Amino acid sequence: MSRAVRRAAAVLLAAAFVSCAPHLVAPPRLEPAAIAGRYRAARDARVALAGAIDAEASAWLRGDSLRDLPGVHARLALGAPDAFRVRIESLFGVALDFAAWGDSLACYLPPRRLGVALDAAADTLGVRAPGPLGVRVLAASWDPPAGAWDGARFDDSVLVVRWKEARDSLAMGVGSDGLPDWVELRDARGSTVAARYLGWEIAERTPWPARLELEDRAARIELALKLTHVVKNLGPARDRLVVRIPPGAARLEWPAVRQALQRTGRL
Amino acid sequence: MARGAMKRSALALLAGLAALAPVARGSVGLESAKALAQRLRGSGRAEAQLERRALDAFTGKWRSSKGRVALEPPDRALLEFPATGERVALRADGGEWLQPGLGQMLRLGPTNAAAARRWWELLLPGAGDRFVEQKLGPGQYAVVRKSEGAGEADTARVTLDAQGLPAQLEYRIPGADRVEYRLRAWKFPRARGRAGFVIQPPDSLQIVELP
Repeated sequence: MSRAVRRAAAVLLAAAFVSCAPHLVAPPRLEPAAIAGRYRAARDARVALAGAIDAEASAWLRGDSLRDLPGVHARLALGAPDAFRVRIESLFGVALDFAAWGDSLACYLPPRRLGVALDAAADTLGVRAPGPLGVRVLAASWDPPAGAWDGARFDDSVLVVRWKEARDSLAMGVGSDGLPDWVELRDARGSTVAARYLGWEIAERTPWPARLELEDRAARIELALKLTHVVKNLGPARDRLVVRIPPGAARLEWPAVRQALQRTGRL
Repeated sequence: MARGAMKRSALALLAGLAALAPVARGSVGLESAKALAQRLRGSGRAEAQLERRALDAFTGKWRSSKGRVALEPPDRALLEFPATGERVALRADGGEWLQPGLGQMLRLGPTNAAAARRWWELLLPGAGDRFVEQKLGPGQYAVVRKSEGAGEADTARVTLDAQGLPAQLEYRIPGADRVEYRLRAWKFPRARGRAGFVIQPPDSLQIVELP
């Protein structure tokens, strides 16, 4: 075979290989309405589940103003639409038991036998009602009004929807699978709290947030959460979701509890 | 109830218990730990299989984890839970708490180590200085801490087996926990010394200091 023939054969073979190779063509991007539909369907499933969900949680709090804090293990109970409970516990017992329902909250520190209960937490703490806010963050049950989806725009592959609730501005990035990537909540004073949904697991046949990061940008504090063993619990809500401060415990005002919480490095 | 009132209640309880059953005070040692103390003095070390059971506030069911405990006088305890890899070494001068699930090892100072050791130390010789006890029935004792601080007025119930060794240690914190440690298969090998109660930090885990 002459050199020219061999070269021609090599070129033809190369061309054949190239034509057989899989083509890297981006799939067509879903329309915003399709993503909104997927989001609503997945959200409805999470809301239905969030009425009675228990989970194990690992949590790590980091911040410029905080010293090196240990990670903690906690039990978590949700009672959508407006109640949740977090119980930080270890081999040596319960370090902190916190519950929020509607605008109220109760917190008890068993090692110190100190408790606090607030009926109007939003007024005292200057935040949104803690019960519904906690459920929305943990269940990713954010609910943009239908009209907000009309103005949604893509940022790379994430569909960003923006809306207002009372005096707060919210934005949410939703992936093509209909699951939220992130949410930002900016209040009237300009403080921003962000939630990032980094991982999902199937719980009771429903995708459920399994790895979250919550960030208070003004305070420069970040809470990382990892949830496991997400299961339905149809037990009585009063047992699952209510923190009881025992009769012998000291009851404190909120500023004193904040000081006690800052000392929770002790067992 | 205010802290002062709670303290008065605790002192009243202690006085009542002391009047009822002055069986173990000062350096005499606790009746509930007498057989264990004797064996410990002879061998230098005690080991047992344990099952930790805690009543779950969310489900109302008991949650259980199995492990091992080792004790050496005067102040050393080691708890190990193989299923999770969790290990806790406690000494008077501090301790370590390995928590692979959280990716960390806590290095405990004397204050936190004492808090973690507060029920295990009643099984060590010399605990009579820090506790009073009341006999509840054959092989059953209520043991109350004398000391101030986080555990004031806390009471544990100790149940002994046929050899007089602790078979169950149970305590309850109002508004929080009901915890049982079931103990069995006691062994009394030779002491290993302090080095056996120090956990070396793995490279992969973060070290967090707790005073």
